[in-house]
Amino acid sequence: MPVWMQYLPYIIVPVLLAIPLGKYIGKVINEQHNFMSIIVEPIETRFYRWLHISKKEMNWKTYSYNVLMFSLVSFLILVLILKFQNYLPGNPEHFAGLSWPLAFNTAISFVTNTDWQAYAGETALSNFSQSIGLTVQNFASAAVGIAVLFAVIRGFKRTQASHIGNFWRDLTKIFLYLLLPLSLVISCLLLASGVPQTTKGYRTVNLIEPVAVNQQNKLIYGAHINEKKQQVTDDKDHLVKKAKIITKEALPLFPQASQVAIKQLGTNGGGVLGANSAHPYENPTPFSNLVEATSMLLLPMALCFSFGEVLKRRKEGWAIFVTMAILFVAAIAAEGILEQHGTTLRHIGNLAMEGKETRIGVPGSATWSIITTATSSGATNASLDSFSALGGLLPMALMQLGEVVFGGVGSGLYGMLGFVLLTVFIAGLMVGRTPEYLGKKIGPYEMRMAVIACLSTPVAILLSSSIPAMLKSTLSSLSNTGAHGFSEFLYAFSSAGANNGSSFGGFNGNTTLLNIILAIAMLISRFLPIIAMLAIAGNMGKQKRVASSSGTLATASPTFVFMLIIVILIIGVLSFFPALALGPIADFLKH
Amino acid sequence: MEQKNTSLFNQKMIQDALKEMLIKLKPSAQIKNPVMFLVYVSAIMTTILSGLSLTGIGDGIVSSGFIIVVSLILWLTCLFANFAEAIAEGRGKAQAAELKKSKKAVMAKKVTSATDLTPELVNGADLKKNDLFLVAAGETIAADGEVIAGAASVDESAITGESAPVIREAGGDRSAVTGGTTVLSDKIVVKVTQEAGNSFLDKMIGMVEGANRKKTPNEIALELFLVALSIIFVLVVAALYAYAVLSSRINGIHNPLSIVWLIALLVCLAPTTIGALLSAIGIAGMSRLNQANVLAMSGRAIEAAGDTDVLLLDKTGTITLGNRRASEFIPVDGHSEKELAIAAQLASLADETPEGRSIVILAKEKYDLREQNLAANQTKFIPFSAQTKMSGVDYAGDAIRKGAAANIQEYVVANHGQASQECQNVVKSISQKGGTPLVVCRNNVILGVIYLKDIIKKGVKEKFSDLRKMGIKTIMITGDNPITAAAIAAEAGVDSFLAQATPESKLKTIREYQDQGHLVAMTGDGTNDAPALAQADVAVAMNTGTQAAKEAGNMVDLDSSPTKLIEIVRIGKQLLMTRGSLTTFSIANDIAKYFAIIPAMFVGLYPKLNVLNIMHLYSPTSAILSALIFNALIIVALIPLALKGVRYREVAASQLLRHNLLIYGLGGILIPFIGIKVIDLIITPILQLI
Repeated sequence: MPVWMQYLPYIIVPVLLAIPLGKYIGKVINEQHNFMSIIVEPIETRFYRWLHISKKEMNWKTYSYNVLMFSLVSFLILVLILKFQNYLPGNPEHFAGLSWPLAFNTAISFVTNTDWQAYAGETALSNFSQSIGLTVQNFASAAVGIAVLFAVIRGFKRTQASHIGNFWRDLTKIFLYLLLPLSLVISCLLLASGVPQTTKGYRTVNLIEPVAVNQQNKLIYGAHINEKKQQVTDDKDHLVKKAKIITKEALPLFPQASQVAIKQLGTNGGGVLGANSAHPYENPTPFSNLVEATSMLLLPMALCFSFGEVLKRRKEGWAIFVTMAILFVAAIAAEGILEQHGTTLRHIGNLAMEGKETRIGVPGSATWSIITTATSSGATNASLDSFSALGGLLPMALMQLGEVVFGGVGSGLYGMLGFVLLTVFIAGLMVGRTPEYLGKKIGPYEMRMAVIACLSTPVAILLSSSIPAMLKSTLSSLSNTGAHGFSEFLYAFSSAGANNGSSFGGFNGNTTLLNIILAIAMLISRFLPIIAMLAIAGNMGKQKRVASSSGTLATASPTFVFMLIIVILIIGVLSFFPALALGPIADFLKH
Repeated sequence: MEQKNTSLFNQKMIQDALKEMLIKLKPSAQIKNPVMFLVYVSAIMTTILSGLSLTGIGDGIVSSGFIIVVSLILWLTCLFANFAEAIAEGRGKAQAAELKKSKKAVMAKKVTSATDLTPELVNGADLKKNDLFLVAAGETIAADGEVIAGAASVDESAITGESAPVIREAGGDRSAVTGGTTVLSDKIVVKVTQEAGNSFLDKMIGMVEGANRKKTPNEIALELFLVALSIIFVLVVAALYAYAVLSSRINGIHNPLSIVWLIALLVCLAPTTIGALLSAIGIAGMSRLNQANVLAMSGRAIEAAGDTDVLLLDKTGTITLGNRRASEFIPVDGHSEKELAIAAQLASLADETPEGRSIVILAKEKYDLREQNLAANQTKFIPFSAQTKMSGVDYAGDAIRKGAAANIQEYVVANHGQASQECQNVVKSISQKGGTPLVVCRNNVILGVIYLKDIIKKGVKEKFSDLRKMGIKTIMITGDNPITAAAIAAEAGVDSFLAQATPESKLKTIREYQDQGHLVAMTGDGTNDAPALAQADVAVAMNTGTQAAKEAGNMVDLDSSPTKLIEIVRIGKQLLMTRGSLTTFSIANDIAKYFAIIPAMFVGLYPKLNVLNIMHLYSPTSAILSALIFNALIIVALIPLALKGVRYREVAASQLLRHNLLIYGLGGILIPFIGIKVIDLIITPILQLI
């Protein structure tokens, strides 16, 4: 089997699943009867009754207000859980509460669907924090993103209407019809492939071969251990004083299967363990790797089709899907070529497998690195720090484009719609008409909002990274020198500023200053586009629909798709070319 | 305005524009254009930096000479932008100057009523609304108004450029007069409708000069986009400085990045090309409209014209030549064609209507029938009357009549003649073909039918098919019956028609189309058109029309030409296309500028980044200067395009997009690579001399 065929399942499987799923979600948005209704509807109605959720729809301002309030409350609860986890139940390992800056950063990170982790889960968070704190937010933040998209789609669909849906009903429907059933299926698949699911806490087992650490708890490489004498000698046969011999290990067992399922499905990406999906307990086999990769792509892809379905203009949904797919497949192809090739160093040889898990291999790691940054998941199964220079550039660039190549659940599509409006604006002028999309005119108001939606990612990344870049102290957060060190730095801010959350590795973000700055970057790029896109939806919903003719710019045409791709790339390139030149490009040219 | 200036600009305009270019350097003028204001601030900053550098305070990276050259180029960039705007305004001003000539101080003969004509001489500017004044032959009308008594021929060439006088009379649709025009004969009493300073002429001058020009929604939206891009670039450049600081720390070297380079990069990246030309494009669009002898009440109206997708066109004058013409004589009941032709000609000799003339001419062409010399004593012409609805002649004992089929049949039967079945059949078939039948009888015997035909203008069908390709629907408005209308509509190739049109049905049609989401454009002149004009999205009032029509419309066509609507749509589309294309071009330019400047800037930090110097520019200094010079020169190079507008073709939107994307998108990427390289080749030897 040629190597390239190993890449195909990662593209084909999600697409095949996303098409029917998209239709199903379309029915959920339209509140139409579907095959899940029989089971879900009774629960749903009871839910509405308990929580006093009415059928009354909201205008865009009320909708935004509810989104913001929900997120604020989520944030406050999460901060308190993380800060005071030592007073809360479900802490078998007796972890202390997180520091305020770290708790702040982590709470923002999960509420914004970023899941940037400045800590390692297995050594910092209790079961309670993991499941009641983070996992709940994995559901909630994903649902918020999708709900906003639902409202945006309604705005584009409706004419002369001032309401765009009810946030609480949307949220409920997304939980009950989408996230819960889908993550249940994914959890089962993960369980079947060997991912643990337990709340009993760590299990201690004997090591097959003991290891030794020195006084500073650092592993002694090549140590000769004499268990009977309790003596340790190093590789040069010198006796190591006060060395400790370790014969047991603690297996970090959590309810992984359920949490990994929603972490991928909701494009959250925050792993239970620090190593994320590179750890065998989160991603044990090539099969689980495919399941997780598919889960990341599933909803962002499907929502494109839902968009066309609800608007009753399937071609428009396909046009957006194709735009994303072209960028996506191109990135996978390029990453595949770069990583199969690897970096070759003199005296050492080819480093294609460096930083990658053997059970996953190069194709599984290369595609994953693209999928996780194309979508805003940010889960990792390999160390990007060890990828080739340009292999590290691509994931970074995908985030810098604003997470619109499928992107986050909901957020990817509404972000892309922002770019569609920008493109329609320029293209519309070029054909001599006041620009319009789906029969709605794009005036100064829509333009202002679209610009805010599209540029908040570059603004968040550029602004947040400028301040630490000027500080000497930042040097100590980097583990590499030269251009590669700068790549580590740039990646961290791109990750936070694009709500991705993945890590390049080698960058320590857990300082008070960085925790706060990165959190602010996450806030900007999450909530500015949400408000802007809801405002557009509100305004477009009020408009009449302009009749279309051959004089109207066709937005489902190859020319438009091409132009959309160019606009996305140009805005990305113009914003980040200098930064990339100092980082991965200089790094690449060095070798 | 009589002699329209077809060249883009003459020497006088350039001189004026050069002067204006310097005046526009004041901050209050600059801040109106945010993108250029950024360049303006950059120019000031580099000027300060060069001053500091001359006194020995510098960053030690760039020389004083370099900073001075950079600041000069930046000032030039600002000046070029000013020049573009000034020259566009200059063209408008030239047109306005013509108009102002007719706006001399005029004395008016104020009267108290239309019957009491004892005049009181007052200054024209002091006339109030609803005042009455008298104008006699040779005098200039002092204010816009409505004729309430009398009729006069008026020379309106000052406004329309049309030298033939027009008749203005009390009552009806020809009662509006414009201040500044001259009465040639007779005298009229005028009621003031617009006071001085607010008159039609004042508005026109304001619009043409660009003083009343407000930014249109499209322009505002575009400017927002450009401002946002500029803000991003400010951030990019600021972040770049921070990144350079970090990178040099990582590498343990001194930061080799000069602030001057960053300013240069910022100016190059900012969308200065479109920023500099944006207002020129808008003014030029207005100016093109004026050259077509159309005045828009707002810039918004022009853009709306580009958006219209339904055109309501009057049949007469737009689709067909003004009048019907006789095209055939069809004899019935065994009479000969010649017999019919002779009778028809005789009956029409006194008929001065174009239809009547065309019958005489057709008879002459077909049978070489000269206009017969009729002995006056034997001849009695029967003029057309509303009661009989027919006309004719009593000549040498023959009573010849012509008229509508029903009337003639009635007349014949009433005078004991025979109704003709054959005639009825012919009449019916002519009606179905969209023609108008005129029946001719002699001594109560029906001779036959004259086929009057609407003559479709040449090239109209092709025009409508072009419009259809562009997605514009054409609807013919006519007073004809539906059968006739359908036949003409089919022949002319319009998409739809409104037969037996009344002001109410026009209004209803417009509303219906608007409810379906269409934007409707129409032309009108009469007072009864006013409601429909007010409802239409783009409403072009004829200058010959009433004041009410003009006020209801958002454009006035000085030529009163019904085909003007199509031209207006073209100008509107061209305006938007020019903006879109130059924006694309401007942004696409940035790619080459990056490849020029980035390697130059970072060569101290990572020498290997020189690989990105794909243009092989000679040195960092020459690279940065070349990019800056290109950035400034491209503005000047594109001024003609901004004024003329990009080429417009009547094709579908998808084709138009592909075409413009190829030229301005791809061209925008490639041209600066070539341009910067060429400039580099030119300035390198100069730099070496220094």
